Amino acid sequence: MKSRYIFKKKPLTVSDAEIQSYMDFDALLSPKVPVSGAKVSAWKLYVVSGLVAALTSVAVYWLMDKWNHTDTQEIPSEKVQAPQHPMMNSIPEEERKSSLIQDTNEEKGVIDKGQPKEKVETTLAQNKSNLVKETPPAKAEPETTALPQPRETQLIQAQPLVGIDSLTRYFDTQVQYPLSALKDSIEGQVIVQFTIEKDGRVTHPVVLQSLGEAFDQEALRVVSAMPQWQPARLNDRPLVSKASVPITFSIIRNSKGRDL
Amino acid sequence: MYHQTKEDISSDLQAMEKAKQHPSAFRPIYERHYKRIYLFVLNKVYDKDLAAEVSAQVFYKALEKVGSFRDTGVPVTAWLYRIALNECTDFFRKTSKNRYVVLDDLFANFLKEEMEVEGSLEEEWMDALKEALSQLPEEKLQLIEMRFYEGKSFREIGEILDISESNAKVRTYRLLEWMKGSVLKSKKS
Repeated sequence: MKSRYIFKKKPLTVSDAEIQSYMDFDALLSPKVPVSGAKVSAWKLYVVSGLVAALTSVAVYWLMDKWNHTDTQEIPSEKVQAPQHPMMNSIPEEERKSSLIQDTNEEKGVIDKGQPKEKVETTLAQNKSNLVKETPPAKAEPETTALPQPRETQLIQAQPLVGIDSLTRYFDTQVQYPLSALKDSIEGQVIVQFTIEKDGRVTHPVVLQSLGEAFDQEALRVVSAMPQWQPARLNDRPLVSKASVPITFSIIRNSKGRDL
Repeated sequence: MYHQTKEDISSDLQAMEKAKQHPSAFRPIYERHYKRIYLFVLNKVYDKDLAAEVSAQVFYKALEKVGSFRDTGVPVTAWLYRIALNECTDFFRKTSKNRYVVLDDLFANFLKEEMEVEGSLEEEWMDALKEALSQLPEEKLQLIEMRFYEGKSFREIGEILDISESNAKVRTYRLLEWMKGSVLKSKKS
């Protein structure tokens, strides 16, 4: 009878250093890399040649990002209006629709309870134009001359770890319409840009389009507290990147409600 | 328990709570337990790279399940072992890779004492034992390994398999009884 197991007299010996060399926590945070130890080691071999170029470019992007960031902080609001459109356009139309549908459904639920309540509608847009990795020429050039491999410029955009839908839901449930603004019936959008650090933390939220102090503060609060992101990755190396979300404040009036 | 202090266990639990919000907070758990999970897997796949692959999968799954982790008094280690067991079972079911069993003298002697099989020749006994083990399905083999190779307590095994301590004990000894029968049968023939 053929044994289904293979018996060994001794366990395989493996040194602590070897075990440590297999450890790669960051790879776990990337959904694009379905975690393969063998792949990782092959990847390491590959990288050796392109490592210097990659490192420098990552550093350059990082610096550029820093620079960009301080820039945007200083820019007054007029310049800020401009990036709104590319931002909005970058959302796939269907996604926007679906999140809008969700919103209306929830709206109904709220109204069913018979309470006039402020409604917050959010759509999520990832600002491609603001992503740091978006300027690859500096990187692509030295590398295509040195080693012309297309895989060298594999770019994965930052995305919310919980998924776009959950993030939309997060905003829907967390954003509070500032009651102080209720009497003025202000409605509109606050666009908040933020930085996604290499470890996925969301930092430096900045209001790109303001709707007044109370709204801005609320928008900044929810953005700062939002769930972690999956950092953008260039060839599996996490990058600092930027994205923005429009946060819509609107008031649902009783008269607007259906099926009361 | 699992060679862990109470402080380790509670700091694991704290890290788990944080990891529910920020997956990167899972890092200390990964770093603290990687080695034991890796070695646990290595004994079964007997290939260093493959063991790393399966271990990565274990932690990947763990990270996915962090949100549903509830502190029921079971250490995070047991929870990780449970995922590792399932991943190993899956791995051998889905791939055609060989399942290895490290049957060293200590393990064999431990089993021999527990089964109270006496006075047989070393070689004969080993062959009979291998045959008995070979007939065990993966889950049952894992139980025997955890108890007699890894030396885990019944309480730990219970926590890992999500069964009671006494149930773990009963299952183990029922298996041993069965193996003893198998060994004696092959001795006769």
